[in-house]
Amino acid sequence: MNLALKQKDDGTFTTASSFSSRILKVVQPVLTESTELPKDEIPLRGATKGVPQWLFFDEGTIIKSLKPVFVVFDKGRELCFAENETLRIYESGPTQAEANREFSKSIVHFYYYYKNLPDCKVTGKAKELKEIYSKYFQEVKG
Amino acid sequence: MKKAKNNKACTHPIEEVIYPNSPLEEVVCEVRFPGNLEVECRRHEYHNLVKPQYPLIYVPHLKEGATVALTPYRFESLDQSKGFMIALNSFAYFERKYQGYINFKKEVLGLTSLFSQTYSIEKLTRFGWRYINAIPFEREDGLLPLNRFFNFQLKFIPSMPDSHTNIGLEVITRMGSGTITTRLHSGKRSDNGQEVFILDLDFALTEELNMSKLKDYISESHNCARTFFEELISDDYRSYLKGEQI
Repeated sequence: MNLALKQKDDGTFTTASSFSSRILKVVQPVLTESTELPKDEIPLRGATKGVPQWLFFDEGTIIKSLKPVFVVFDKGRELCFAENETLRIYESGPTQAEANREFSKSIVHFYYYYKNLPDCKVTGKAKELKEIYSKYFQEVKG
Repeated sequence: MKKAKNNKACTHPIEEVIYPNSPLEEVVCEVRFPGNLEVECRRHEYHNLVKPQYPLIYVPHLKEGATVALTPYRFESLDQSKGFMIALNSFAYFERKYQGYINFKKEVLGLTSLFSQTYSIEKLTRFGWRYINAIPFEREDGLLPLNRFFNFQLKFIPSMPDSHTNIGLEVITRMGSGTITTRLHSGKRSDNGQEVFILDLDFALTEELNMSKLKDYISESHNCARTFFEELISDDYRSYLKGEQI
């Protein structure tokens, strides 16, 4: 079911099934008059937007970030992409959800990779990444 | 009988913060008044006064069952970032690129003052202040990450699992001297397919309203709606709104 955010005459958005909308119309109290909105659909502000995320999964492992990781999604002809410039993670998949799953796995992988890497073995960008992972990421005990 | 104010939050001015990662898609301030035919017959008189700032005119598309006089004409700025709507019984100002409360209030007061002078409107039947937020999210294990973004627990019974796959809620609450309608839906944007929570806060006053007190209504509505929003969102999400991110 495609949940496109079409605005209805009464100001609410069509996100539930039409069945529940019909029921709501019957029982809706008169006080639900809404402040009028200017357009039928929510307008697009930016071309491609990202999503803040805090939890990353790989099978049984969960890593939590203390600061939100801003994951930018993009769509190619056949693939979807999930990226974060700061962490230098660029993943792809046939759907956005798949790309995001791969992104999540990469975070878990690099968290342990940098955690186990001795300080004396990192320089430059790797040193910066190790600092980010140790400062902002932690394991979540199940 | 006038209802007693039941929430002090609406009377306390709150700090004006403009979030760099704001999820606001639209902010609307609307006044409704008893039907006035002059508004419909002499629409051009008001538009002529503000045409330099709002030159674009959108004539309403009528849907089946819609009433011509109650379906607003829309006037917008050239960049379409803001505009206003006029119908037989309503005037509404909206911004798509919200420039903050102070600028918004200034523009509303300026436009409504001109409007009420043009058509001699004093008595109001409804005042509405609405924030529409689109909050993009990714599912966690197929479930809505509600507690990453919001401060409430959705449990109708103690044994209800926290594993929600979709949400569609509408709650009307008495707050201050009005009501706030909170609508929270999960859905997909029709433009890029991104899943979002639509958080729609609509504060309304309906009793003993007069155009001369518009400033007070704006202040109360803003305080109520903003306080409600701030208390509704989680600290994690607030830190993202403030621009803290990796």
